[in-house]
Amino acid sequence: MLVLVSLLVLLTIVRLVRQKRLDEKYALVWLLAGAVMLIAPVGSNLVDWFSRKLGFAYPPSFVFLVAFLVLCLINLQYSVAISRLTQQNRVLSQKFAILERRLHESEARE
Amino acid sequence: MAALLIIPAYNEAENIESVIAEIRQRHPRVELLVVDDGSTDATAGSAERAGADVLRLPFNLGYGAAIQTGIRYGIECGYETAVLMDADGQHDPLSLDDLLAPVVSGDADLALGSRFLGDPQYRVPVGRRIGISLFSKVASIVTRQKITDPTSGYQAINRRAMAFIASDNYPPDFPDADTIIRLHFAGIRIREVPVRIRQRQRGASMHNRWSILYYLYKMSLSIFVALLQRRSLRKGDAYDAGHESNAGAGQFAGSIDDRKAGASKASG
Repeated sequence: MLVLVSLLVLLTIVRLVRQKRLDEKYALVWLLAGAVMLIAPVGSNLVDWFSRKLGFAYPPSFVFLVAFLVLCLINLQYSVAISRLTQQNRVLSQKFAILERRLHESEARE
Repeated sequence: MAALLIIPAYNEAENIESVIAEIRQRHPRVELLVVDDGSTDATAGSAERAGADVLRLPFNLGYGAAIQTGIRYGIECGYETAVLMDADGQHDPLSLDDLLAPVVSGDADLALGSRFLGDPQYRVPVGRRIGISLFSKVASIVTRQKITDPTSGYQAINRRAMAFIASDNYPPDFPDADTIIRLHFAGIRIREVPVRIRQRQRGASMHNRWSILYYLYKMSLSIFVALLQRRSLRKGDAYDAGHESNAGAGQFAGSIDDRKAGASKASG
């Protein structure tokens, strides 16, 4: 079941990249996530052992915690990216307005 | 050169013509620039018909960003003084000379038109009044001078203050206590001047959508960030020194490279 889902995720990502709807830069993270999902069942004994070593009574809660933290980090990265885009967008539209006015001025002079 | 009067306008088609006509009547020689902040109504067309120069932003950027656009244009054109005035007719053009006086005489870099100094005939809703009085206290403490009306958009500024507003240290939202604090840290000398503020002519106020809790939270955070950026704001002061030389060349005033050049020139 998990294998099917992760294959679906991987296929979707590859399709989005091919259609140029997803930047390679962002595809990296999602491909990694899909790959982890795919190989997770293989290493489940290892994860069990590791989370018990860390003191988690219930190993899946460790997995959820890690997944949650990773998603939070990705989200933060997006907030930073959006802030940068907003700022660039603002500067760009300001320049556009000023240049448009300059163009009208020089057209009016001719 | 005369002062450039900058009017940021967002969906003010109903008011803008009469506002421009009144300014023209009182001050026939003033240069008028309306910055249309991506209005969805006929604001830009109305302003042009009334005889103002218009900068049209392709979409709504916010009040501070609209002012910044006008200032960047003003610096490019070589203006040494600018006045900021709202498009809704609340700012009485009769007060314009009072506002300009301390800036022209060199006593201040920025004259802040206050509706609470002198003869306060303007009534402010209770919720907003509490917010204003709280944050004007904070601004007064930080700037070590009495600030009564930090949200005022009726301002006269000289070239130094214009250079700060053109830099990206100027917040894109409504000017408030955090903006005053940023200006203060950047070394801008502020002077409050009593001005006449009238009730809105027509249409809805731009402040209504600010819910009070969001406002308190947002403004506290903005002031906190301004305090954190204190040092970089002080350094940013050098901005206009490097820029004077190429102001006439028609280059874009606010570009990051220009500012870096200015900062290094002043420190070297």
